[in-house]
Amino acid sequence: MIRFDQVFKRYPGYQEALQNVSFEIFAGELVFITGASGAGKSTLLKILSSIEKPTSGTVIFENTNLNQAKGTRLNNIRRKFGMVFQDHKLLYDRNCFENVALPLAINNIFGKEAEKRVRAALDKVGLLNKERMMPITLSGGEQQRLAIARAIVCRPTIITADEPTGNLDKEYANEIMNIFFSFQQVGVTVIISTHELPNIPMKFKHLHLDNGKLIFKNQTYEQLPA
Amino acid sequence: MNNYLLNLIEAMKIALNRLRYNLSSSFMMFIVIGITMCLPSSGLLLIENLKQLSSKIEYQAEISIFMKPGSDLKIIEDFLNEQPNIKNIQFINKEISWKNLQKKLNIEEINIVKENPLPDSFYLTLNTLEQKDINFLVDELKQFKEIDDINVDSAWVKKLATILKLSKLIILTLATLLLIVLIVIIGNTIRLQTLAYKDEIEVSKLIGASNFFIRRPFLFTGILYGLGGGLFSSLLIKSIVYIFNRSASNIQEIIGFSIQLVDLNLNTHLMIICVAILIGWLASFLSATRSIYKIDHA
Repeated sequence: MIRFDQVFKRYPGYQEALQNVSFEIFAGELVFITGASGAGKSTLLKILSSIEKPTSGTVIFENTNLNQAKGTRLNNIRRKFGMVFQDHKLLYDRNCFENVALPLAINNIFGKEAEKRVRAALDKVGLLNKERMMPITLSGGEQQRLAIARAIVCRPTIITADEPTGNLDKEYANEIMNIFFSFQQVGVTVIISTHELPNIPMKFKHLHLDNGKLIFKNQTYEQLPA
Repeated sequence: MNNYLLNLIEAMKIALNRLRYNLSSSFMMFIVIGITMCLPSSGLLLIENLKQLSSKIEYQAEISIFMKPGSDLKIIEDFLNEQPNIKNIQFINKEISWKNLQKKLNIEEINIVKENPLPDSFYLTLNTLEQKDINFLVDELKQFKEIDDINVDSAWVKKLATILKLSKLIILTLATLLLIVLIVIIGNTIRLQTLAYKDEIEVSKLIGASNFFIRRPFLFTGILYGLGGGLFSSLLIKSIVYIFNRSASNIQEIIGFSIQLVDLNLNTHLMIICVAILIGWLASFLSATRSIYKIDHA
């Protein structure tokens, strides 16, 4: 589904954020990308979601070379991803319903179908009763859940989340992780970057980065709850 | 197609909401566009009125034809009757001319001049302002050996036509400059809006929105600015005409004649509004495209 082949990424004036990274992700997998701050997790996710292009190397998504994708093709690829950002990237001048409806409008889905999907997504993350509230009035955990609702509303085949629990306490963090796991269980590929591996009772793939280098990649790793 | 229309309606709703949220600044924008558009439009109003004034007096432009003594008047009369640019033909025979002159000079009883020195003459009133047509008619008349002299009274027509042409050129230049000013003003406002909605643009780009999708609400905002400004400009022109005519009717008794401005016709008013809308669209298109590019490549 996704293949990284000898990917390098260098930002002008900085050292390489990714060095010779190669791995594969298959459909329906749960993937954790771990590493310290500055290890290259966010960069890897951005390249994976076609937000950024690698300096060299190849990234293949569903037989498409992401390096060569431009314009409409690039937009179409991005629409296949449900992205959850570390800083949520919510629109604070729109209410919860409107925030979640934005990707639907981009995909030309309006009217009753859009309403149905938005409510289903909000229901999934437990925010259905807050659809008319503004994001600023929500707690950190609720804002993150709203961002997840926006990411899943178009029923993506892949969900990427960049440190989705980074700013949350343990209780909220577990809540958020459980939402992601529920998607993986229905066949969605879920890729999460995080500082530390959470305790989860299921199989997942683990990619660990250190200073831009992929240190190890466990294909199917199962960690039992502590 | 249905989805495309829904998308347009959605973008229009967003644009209307943005105007509603910034009502006072939107209204200020209408005023700025309206007044700026009003300047060249007033010039147009002035030219249209001058044109109408000139068309009222152009029929007084005359050609005087003086015949040779004893020549055949019928040939000339027939020729003149066939000409489309002649509105009126007046023939004055030399006896009447002589009597009129004597009367005018009060020399009826003094027989200093024994013989009538005046010729038979035709006085033509033309229905054209075109110098080309006047010259053509004069050239035709010069072909007749029966005609002794032709006097064309059209110098003022030339002057008026030149003044009108020059005024049009000045107004066109002024309008072009003001349109550039408008594009800059609207463009800058839209640029500020794109900065205010930078997060939205960024998020939309990240989740796969096309530039056209992002640009659409800004284009509608520009169009709405243009529409509001155009309507305001049209209203201003109508107010100017109304106020001027009201004041002019008050001073009519003092100056002894009536000066009334004629309002621009409906088509011209619609044209002003359409031009304003077009400018709004163009300015927002240029500005939004540039801003989205900048945000995209930041």
